[in-house]
Amino acid sequence: MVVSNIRVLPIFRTRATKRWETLVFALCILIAASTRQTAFAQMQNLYVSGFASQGFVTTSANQLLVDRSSKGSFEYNEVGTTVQANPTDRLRVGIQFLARDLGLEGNNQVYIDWAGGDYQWRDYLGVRVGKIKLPLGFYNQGRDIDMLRTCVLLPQSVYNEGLRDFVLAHEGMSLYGNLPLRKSGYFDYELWCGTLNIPNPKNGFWGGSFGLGGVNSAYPIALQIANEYGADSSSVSVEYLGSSDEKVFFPVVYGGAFTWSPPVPGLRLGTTVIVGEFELSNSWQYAISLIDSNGNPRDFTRQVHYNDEFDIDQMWTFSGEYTWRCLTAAAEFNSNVMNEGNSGTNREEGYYGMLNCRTNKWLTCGAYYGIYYPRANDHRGHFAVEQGLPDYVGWEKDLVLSTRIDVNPNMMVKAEYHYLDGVALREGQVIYDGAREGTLDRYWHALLLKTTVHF
Amino acid sequence: MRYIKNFAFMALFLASGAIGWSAEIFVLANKNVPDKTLERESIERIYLGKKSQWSDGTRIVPVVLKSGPTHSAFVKKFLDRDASQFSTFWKQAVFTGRGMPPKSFETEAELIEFVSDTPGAIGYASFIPMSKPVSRIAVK
Repeated sequence: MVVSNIRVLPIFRTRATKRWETLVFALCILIAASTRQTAFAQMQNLYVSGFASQGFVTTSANQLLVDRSSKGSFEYNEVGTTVQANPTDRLRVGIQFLARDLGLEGNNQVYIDWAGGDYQWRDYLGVRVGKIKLPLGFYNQGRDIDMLRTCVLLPQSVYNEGLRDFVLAHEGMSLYGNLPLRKSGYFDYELWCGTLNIPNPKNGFWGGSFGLGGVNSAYPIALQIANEYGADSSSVSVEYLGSSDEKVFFPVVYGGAFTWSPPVPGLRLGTTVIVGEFELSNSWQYAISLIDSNGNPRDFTRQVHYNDEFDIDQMWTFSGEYTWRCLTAAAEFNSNVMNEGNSGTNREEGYYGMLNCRTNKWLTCGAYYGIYYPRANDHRGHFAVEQGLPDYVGWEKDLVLSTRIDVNPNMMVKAEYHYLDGVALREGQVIYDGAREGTLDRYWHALLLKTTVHF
Repeated sequence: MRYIKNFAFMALFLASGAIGWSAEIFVLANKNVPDKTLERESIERIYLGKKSQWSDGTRIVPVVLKSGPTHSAFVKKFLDRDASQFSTFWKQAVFTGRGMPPKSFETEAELIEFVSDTPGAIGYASFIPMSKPVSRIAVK
């Protein structure tokens, strides 16, 4: 692998680009604010729409979404605006700017959430090009749009927030269409291919993985250095200092989404699949102390470069949703088979069941229960125990109760309670550090509050 | 006994009239559209952005009312949704780059005028307008 060819987030390179994006973003907000329409602003063939959300998260232990969530945090917001137009009957172009803050991620930097053109030749065949929201399950494309659901946080067993950057959008193209099936309902499909950009591989899931890799590599590096200096391995002390130059590159990723709407009102069934490969590279820094073969003590730092390739053999999601009057029930199952290079192949799985009830015009209540296993064939966490970690690193179970109050058509307030068992969805290095320091709790609680305004 | 019969008859008459009046939604289209009959499922696909062309390949331009009992009755009858679910569906489409919502109007008169003047337009109303040349679409 040629590391120098790796290209990460070219659109965010310069300050000028950032200023331009900020200006366009502010302009869109002004256009939207100046319209007298209360719902979607309509100006001939131009549509402008937007939203802003602010959340609060607190946990009894561990951490959820943000660092130090146990102390409570307001570092949880999203602001977005969309502009779309129909230059011709069959062509639609659009762009959405989004700024978000989620702990160390986002920091309210404006970026392009999706952008591109959509040419619908026939109902059964259209093509989209540009940066396109990636179909994963029924709800991934709208994961940043709080107003679309009752819950604050989508079930993490399927929509892991740590993997958000990975599954958010692809840059490439997709073919899509709708096929009527006469008395069997209708069928929607989308086939896509492209590349994925990871905006900030230093944080979140990727940052945690790089960190954990650095910690786990300390021992083999100690053996290697002992060999180099002819030292006794017991005299070598290796302390992991940190990681730098993190890069995650997806050369080509492809997949599909298929949804069948049978002739049962309110029912839809679907599946999505993602296939591809990715490359990781970074540098780890270590502080090393040893006594060499001549008995002299040595202290120095060493930088170790790492790169590797991984295959996403298959990431499948199966989904079902049924709406009857004020009730909506949904269930999804996610299976992710990944070839982890020298470590072999692993399959992780997650699933959940959810029920929402809109009791009246302004109140909706919901509940879901989700389960995630990082090793689908090890539901009791034996693999974690073998690594000196608690067994509850081997699962995460989440029971959630949500309430949504629509104050008016443009504003809502939500409150959500989580009862969690296990920590499998926490970041790798956080788990390692927590286990070492004895600060990981098996059973924990979380409370999320969020309010959203939109037009 | 006669009073009871009269009362029952009156109640039945009023109930049938009320039901007929409140539930009657007419699907209307520009007079030049090629299709005068549509299946209910086609109406659903049109209003969910999944069917965008008439049988001759020309563009379908669906329009809706912003709110009100006629809008609620239409989305319930033809889309099996309530107005809130219909609105959420289109918000999802807009914010995920999947489409633009149908043009919306405050009153049925405005909607009918747009349908009358716009080639390919389709809408609905609680009455059949006499003053505007629009086609009533029969729904199978």
